[in-house]
Amino acid sequence: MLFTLHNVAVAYDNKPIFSPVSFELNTGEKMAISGPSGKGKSSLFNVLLGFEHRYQGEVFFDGKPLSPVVIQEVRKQVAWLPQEINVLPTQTVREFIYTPFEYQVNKHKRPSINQVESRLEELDLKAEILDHTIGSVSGGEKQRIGILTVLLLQRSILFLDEPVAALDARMKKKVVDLLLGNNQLTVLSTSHDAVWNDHCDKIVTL
Amino acid sequence: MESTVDISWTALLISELFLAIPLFVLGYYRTHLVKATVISVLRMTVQLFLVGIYLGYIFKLNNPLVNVAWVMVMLGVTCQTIARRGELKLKYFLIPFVVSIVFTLAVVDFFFLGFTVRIGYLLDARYFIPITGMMLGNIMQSNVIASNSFYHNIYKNKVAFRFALASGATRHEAVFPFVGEALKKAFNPTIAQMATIGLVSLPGMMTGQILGGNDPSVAIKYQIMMMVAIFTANVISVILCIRLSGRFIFDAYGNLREEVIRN
Repeated sequence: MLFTLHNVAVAYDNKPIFSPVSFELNTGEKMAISGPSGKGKSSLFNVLLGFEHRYQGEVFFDGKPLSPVVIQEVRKQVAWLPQEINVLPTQTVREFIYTPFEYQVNKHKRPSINQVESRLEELDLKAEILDHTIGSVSGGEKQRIGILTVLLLQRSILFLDEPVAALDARMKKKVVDLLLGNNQLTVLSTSHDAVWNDHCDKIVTL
Repeated sequence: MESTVDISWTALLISELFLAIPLFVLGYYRTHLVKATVISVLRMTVQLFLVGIYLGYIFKLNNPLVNVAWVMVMLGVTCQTIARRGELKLKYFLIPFVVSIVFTLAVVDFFFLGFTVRIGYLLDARYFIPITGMMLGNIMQSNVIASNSFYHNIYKNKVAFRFALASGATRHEAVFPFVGEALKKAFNPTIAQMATIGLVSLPGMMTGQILGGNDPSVAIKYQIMMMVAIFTANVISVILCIRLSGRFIFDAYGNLREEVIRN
């Protein structure tokens, strides 16, 4: 078991924003968290990554309750794709992709330009996009750049927040095959998309 | 060189009537700044009048404990102003501000007074208080801009900051680009000013020295020294403050404590 949640609900001023959920996420599983917009699905990622402490219930990673030390372990094994990639406005696509590899923990995994271009091609993006600023690319392109970056990080667990929301049907199928068809990956996602959810092993509804 | 020509209080008060011109412009364009301007000018006049009396007394006394105590008062006002204008809550930043600014003054101030100016007595009121005061004024300005930029940018760009932490960045690695942005915002104007100084107008310290009867060749040396000292002190204090405040401002998971931001 990677993650175990017992009766977990994010709570502000002691008021839960959704009914408590319990689930286990095991190695290789693909799980989707579904529910109406604004229900707090994304906030579950914040709990699991140590960004949100206002919650009720218990959370375990690899059998250990969350703590600053355990969260460091989580962050070394998880790649997170937020719903909106919000970066400093002057950042280029190239800088966005390569910045995580400037961190000490990721330096040894720094991808070559060939590896990056290969992933770009896989996601129907041209190499020229590397020199554009993140602010100037479309929503769909931004989403694919985010997917590309989490894949390049080569983590075994992916947290994906609405990973196909901005993609057309053809690209959606490609991304579903790429992420959910990979047995080496454990995926926890939030999605409204029926195609995405249909390809997941488990669905938890908030 | 002749000593400075004194200005009578009557002449000074009459010259303040010139303010009627900017007040008229501000009022005509409905800026709602007329009252604030009048209050600020009155405060400035009263404050400087009292400071003039007080400094005259301090300079005559030239007691090291009194000189240091006055600098401590200036330091307290500096810290409070940085927090208020940087829109940060003082209680989280008081220790980092005080430690970083005292350290900066101790290193930069005493180096320049002891080595460059070479005054035998470092706490001589005539040098220690005005030079330290100039440095504190500039440190205050830089820290307001840098602190406001740094903490508010992290707060506003929460997802980008969290993305860095989630991708394995240490807190130092995650804040790195925000530190760079804060330094750029704080020091771009100073760097531009240094490049054009003397071409458009004579800077304040130099003007004051020349009016006080000093030779321009001496005045420019003090001005160059002060620009270098101020710039160095500003950068040291900003970086130290950001680094030292880290343990008070970020929690054990690397998150910015949002309660440190005012409003």
